Amino acid sequence: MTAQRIECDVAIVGAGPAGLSAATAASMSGARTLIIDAYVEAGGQYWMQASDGRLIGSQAAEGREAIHRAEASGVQFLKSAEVFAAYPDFQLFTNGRAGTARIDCRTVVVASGAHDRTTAFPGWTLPGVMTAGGGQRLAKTQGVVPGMRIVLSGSGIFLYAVADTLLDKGAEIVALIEMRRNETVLARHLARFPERWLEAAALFGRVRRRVRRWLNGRVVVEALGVERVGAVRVAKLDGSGIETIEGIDSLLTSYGFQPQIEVTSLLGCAHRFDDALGGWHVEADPATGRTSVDGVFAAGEVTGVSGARPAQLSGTLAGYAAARALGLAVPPEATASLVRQLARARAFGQGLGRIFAPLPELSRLARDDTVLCRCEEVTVGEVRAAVREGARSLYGSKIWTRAGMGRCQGRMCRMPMTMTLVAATGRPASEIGYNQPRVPARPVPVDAVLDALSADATSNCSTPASNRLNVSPAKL
Amino acid sequence: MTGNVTIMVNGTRLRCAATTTVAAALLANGHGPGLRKTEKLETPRGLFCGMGLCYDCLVTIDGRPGQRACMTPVSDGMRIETP
Amino acid sequence: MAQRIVVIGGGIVGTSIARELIVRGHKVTLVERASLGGAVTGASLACLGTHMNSRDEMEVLKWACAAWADLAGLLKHSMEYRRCGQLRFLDRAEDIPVAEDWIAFERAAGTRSELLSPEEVHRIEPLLTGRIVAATYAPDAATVTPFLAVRALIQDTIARGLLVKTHTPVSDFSVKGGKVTGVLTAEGPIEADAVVLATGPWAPDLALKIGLDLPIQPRKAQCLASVRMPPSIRCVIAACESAGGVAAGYTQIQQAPSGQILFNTVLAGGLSAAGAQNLVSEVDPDFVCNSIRQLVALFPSLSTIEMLRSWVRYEAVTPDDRFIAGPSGVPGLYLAAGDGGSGFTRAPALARVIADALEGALPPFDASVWSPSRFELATAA
Repeated sequence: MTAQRIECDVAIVGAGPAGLSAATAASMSGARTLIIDAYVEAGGQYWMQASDGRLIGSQAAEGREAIHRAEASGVQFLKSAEVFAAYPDFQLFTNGRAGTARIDCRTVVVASGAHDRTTAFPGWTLPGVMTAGGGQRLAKTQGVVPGMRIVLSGSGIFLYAVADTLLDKGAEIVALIEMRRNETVLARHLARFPERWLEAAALFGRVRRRVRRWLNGRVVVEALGVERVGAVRVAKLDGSGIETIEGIDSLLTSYGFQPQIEVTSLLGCAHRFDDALGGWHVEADPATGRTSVDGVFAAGEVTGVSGARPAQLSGTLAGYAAARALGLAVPPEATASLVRQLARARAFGQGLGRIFAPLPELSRLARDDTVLCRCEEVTVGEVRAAVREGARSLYGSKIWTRAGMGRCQGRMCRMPMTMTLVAATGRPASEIGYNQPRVPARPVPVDAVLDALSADATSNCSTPASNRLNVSPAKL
Repeated sequence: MTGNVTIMVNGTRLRCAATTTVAAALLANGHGPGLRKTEKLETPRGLFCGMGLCYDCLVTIDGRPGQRACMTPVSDGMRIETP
Repeated sequence: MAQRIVVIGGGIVGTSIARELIVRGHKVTLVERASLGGAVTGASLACLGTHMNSRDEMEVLKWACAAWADLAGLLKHSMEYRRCGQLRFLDRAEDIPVAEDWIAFERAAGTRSELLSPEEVHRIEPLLTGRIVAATYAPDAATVTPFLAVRALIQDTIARGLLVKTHTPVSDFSVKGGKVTGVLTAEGPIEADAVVLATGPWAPDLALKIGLDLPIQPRKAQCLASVRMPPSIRCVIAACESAGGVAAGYTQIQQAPSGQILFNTVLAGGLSAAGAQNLVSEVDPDFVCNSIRQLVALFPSLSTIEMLRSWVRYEAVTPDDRFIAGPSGVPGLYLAAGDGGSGFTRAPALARVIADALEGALPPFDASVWSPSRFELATAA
């Protein structure tokens, strides 16, 4: 048996803005705190750290500060560790390059973040077609651009952020294509948030000056190429105004983000659907992050996509709430003012989510022969046929077609599958349902599963070193 | 932190930064973007989500197939096959 | 005489019954509260066979296995029917007489099975290199992909005029003069000359509404699945039924046509608490460990395969491990529930029993093993 055993008061899943803030708050309140993250470096998708330790950009600097704050407060880090099993009796199991671990904790804060939503369109499986978040990650953590002549397509301000990064790295943005035509609504929304307006305006200005073209009210309707993407066809959502953009080597696409609800699902938390919040997300009390399961808190994008600032604030609140649930005294500043700030920060992010929410017309981009489930190579036509024969939900279509039964466990096809089914059945997305995550939340070799799950609960445990004396034995 | 390592890609020696991922090392050195062919339709696939979730960038690493190039840091002497 | 019939439950039992009734010219509505084949059926491993199955039901099982083979050839949609054979491994010498006794019984009944040495097993199943004492082999055992079996039946039956209502829970029965005359749903009542209750572990809840106390309890069964693998396992691999069947500990390992390796080990755990079937539950860590240990003990070369998925189902267990199928005692209501974890094989025979009962005919086999009248069902109230 080689599984690492860790015992702590508060286990935080995800070391992005929400998780790091939660960890620092919990640890400063005296809880022995462990933070678990899937990647080599903490920071999440927003505070990404370069793998070679260089600091690029203000977000990375902000992130490094947050990591240092967490470390200084006594938080123990478990990096390169993916949570594959979580049980409501506060056991988490991870697997990663450094082996497996069993974590016994008393409360959990799930801050598992979100990833790009994508839609299925002809050619979306070609090499060179990536999610915008993937391109951003490659550039920010590895210093490598996905291509030199790039088209960015989808919806949301994130496209501009990615363009900004890639332009700085020397890539050419051949076109930035925004599905929505919403300049006025967007301007009005930004005007309500003067504290964010300048930042957004600067980003738009910087990017629009440097991209070759920017188009609103258009989508990439097809990626063309044989071994890799070499061109895209662009049109309005009604199919008119079609044109081909040639000579590209990369297409990055993103229609906002989708919460990663695997861990909250395994823990039995209640979830709800809202397109503007990224689709399915965990229900959490805004002031505390409390979920429907006692002792399980959630923070950041998993509670509904709204951006990095609300993530930090909700993380801090959830970290304090998790500590308070253990009977620890929490500093007085963890109160009303944070809640007020969070409400405003969320209103900003969620307003953007509504303005850039995917349009139902996107489901028409796919042809019957377009692959919908990338893993099992199930086509949109096969899913539509299942509906004609009586399938009415995501689960019902999945079991008849295998769409969503592959290695990615239905993550990548969640949005295209939902959109296809909404269009084909006429039922709302909230009734279509989602692919219920199960153990393991990631594919894990059976020897590693055995190693982790058979690890003894008590013997040879390590615990976060600091703060141990701050917690009275009676409370343990 | 810094320094270089040697990896073998389809039998060819390659020098790259020790802190890089397999995916980045491959892309930066002209491998890809196609990294494999799918089983059923035999169509090419490469890096897609770039963050360990889509399982499209699978390569064989030190004889073990099905490893995510985007999540695996390189190490000295690592053998990578892209079928 | 065509009758209007409502079948409640869109699992393999309900869809099989619906198809049989449609083929006979009745007007059938199938009502399913969630997705077709999405509950116990979809979570099952769908092995079809007579081997070490149930001595009391040998005649029915033989009939049902033949019916499955016919169906597979008949339906337009593939259900991935494969006659892959079944191996029951023996890891203790004292189980050999048990196995020999079964084989003698099965041969006398006209089915094929034999006892193999580890070397002979190895020729059939090359990767089964773990230490075993012997194995029984039943070459005619088959599998279908459970989801696709339901889909194939539904597709064929809809083409013949079946009305399907999914995501439509039934809340109660309509009753007139002591006779069941239909069902009530959120979308309104559905009138019928007869109603068939085929809702597995959920059958007792609805039966209680009409004063029937079905002796059916849920039992948790758990499964694991790997990612797709190259062809590795040919047969259905199962434990020898040496000490009382499923309740005593049971293993089943097989490779699905998708390439996924499916494996479960139901350890002696007995029945679950009433209502357990209504909870969303995860596989137990101990179960996962035992299943992996069993898989690797038999197939050492699979020790690093990647696990992709797990799931739980609740089987409907009766006191004697046999279905309750036939007229309920309440006029107009027929029962077909109590799978005991092996409903798939029996589904075509259950369909025959119900359809014959509705038409006042006798099935071509002795169906008394399933007779509801073997229990006192009527509640005191």
